[in-house]
Amino acid sequence: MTARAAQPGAMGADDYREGALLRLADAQILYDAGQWVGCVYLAGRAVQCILRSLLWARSSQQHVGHSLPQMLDEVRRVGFLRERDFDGFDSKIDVIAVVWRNDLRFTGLRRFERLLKQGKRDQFIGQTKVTGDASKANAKSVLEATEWVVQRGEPLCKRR
Amino acid sequence: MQATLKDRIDQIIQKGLKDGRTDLEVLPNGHVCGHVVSSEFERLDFEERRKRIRVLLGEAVDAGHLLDSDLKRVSTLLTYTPDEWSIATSDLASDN
Repeated sequence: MTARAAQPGAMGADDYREGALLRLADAQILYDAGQWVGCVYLAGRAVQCILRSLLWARSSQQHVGHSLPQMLDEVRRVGFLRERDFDGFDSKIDVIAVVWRNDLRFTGLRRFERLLKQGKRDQFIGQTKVTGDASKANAKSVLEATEWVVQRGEPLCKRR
Repeated sequence: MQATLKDRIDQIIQKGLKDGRTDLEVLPNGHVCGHVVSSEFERLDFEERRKRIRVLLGEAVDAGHLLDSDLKRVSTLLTYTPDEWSIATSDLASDN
């Protein structure tokens, strides 16, 4: 079970949409300041907000859990995405989910670097060989994928 | 009467970007955010688009059209080429 009915006073679609815009702005500021882990963490939160906003708008249910691919599946199931957007959302969420973890909020740069190494993300991001700072390269790829998801998803939130 | 921050940013972006269009809003916390559409964004990645807008807003501060403190109230400006905007705002699958 990954969803539950809303409780009175719970957050709604507009709150999550606003949260997505604010967390993306924070992630961009952290990227520009060279704070790679914080950037990735808040980028993932922005994606969660957009997916929760879409889910809420159609099903009045709150997603429980932090799996971005599972949340995307639920959004797809309630019929919010256009079929032509399926591949785009899938590929961008994959890029984010392979790096983003809910416990990044407790994670410093050393542990982040270890996690990237474990996933071989210090060598390749997709088909692209990593040269230079792997943390920066991964933050850039996550932030760009997040910007795409918010760019595409936010207008859907407003037009629900 | 002094134009609102949203109105001033609207004007700065629409004048400063090629084919610039905006769809901005003020969030409950007073921050301005929204959509910016321009053909200048073609062939630019998101980071380059963000820098382009930052340069534009920085020039507006230098020209006295914005204050430094105003910049702190500019939140996410989602950037689109005209084609991306057309795709993002076309009808939902369930509306077809």
